[in-house]
Amino acid sequence: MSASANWAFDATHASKSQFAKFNKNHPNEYASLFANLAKIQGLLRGGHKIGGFHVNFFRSEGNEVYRIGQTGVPGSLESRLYLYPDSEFQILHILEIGEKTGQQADIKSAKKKVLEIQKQKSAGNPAT
Amino acid sequence: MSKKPKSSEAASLAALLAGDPAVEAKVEREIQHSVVVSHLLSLRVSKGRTQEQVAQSMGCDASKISRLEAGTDEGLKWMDIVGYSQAVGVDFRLAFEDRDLPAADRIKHCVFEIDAGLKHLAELAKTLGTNDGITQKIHSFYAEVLFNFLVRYKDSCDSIGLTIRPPHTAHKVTSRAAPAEPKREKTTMQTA
Repeated sequence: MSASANWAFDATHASKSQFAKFNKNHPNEYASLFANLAKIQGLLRGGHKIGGFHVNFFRSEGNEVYRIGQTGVPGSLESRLYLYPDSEFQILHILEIGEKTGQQADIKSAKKKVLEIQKQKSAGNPAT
Repeated sequence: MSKKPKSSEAASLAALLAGDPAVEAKVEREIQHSVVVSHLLSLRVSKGRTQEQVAQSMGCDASKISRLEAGTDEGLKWMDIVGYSQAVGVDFRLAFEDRDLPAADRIKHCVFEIDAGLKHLAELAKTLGTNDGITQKIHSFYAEVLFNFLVRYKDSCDSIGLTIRPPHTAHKVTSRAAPAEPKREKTTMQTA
């Protein structure tokens, strides 16, 4: 475990309409996903490294894309919140939200966004 | 007037992205309903234990640990908390704090707790002897506790404009930069 860190969120690459629609259709799953996001942020702020801990609702989808799943919602729809944790700048980029049924397209889009972010980062603009 | 408690960043972000301020309270409620679970999870990760190891220690299936960590505090059973804490090598204590108790009494209670902890360390140091490495660390820690306490105490005094002065000269001293008395039996606090 490393020293405590100050991980922050960046939702620049998230589509507000997509998130608003998901919340409208699945409010309980939406709340659960963000509550779990707070748990992951807490672990990272506690100095734990990405990949250094195993939590069932937090998994890698490859190419630095991670997904958070909903938990504790009875009869819930399998839902996913996709992130890109940038360990260098300690930023949790919020990328996509969606149902399990649409996960292939969401993962593909999330990976594309990670490449964009990394491109912008290498051009010297990490926060965008 | 009651002040609205500050929401977590995740709750604020959820509301922002949903374009609905009501979402903030809903997510915050969800977070507040998982405080114990989050803490247990954090302990397990900090201790580098896997769900399987915790399950083995508790004599249950790993899926139970997975469900426990994925659930909320409402679903927690007392013995699960006790068993999980023991499995990750943490002592579990239950504390009731009376909100009606004056702040001074609560501070005194904390002081007694610190005193008990230091006495425990002192006993350990006595048992191990002066030359033991752990004893040396305990000595350093004692100095660290005092230093940290004084730093924070001074910050608190500064924040409310208090100056510590010896009681018998308090009426004469007006400057905050007044020299300290070499020997003091007792100190009091006065507003600057």
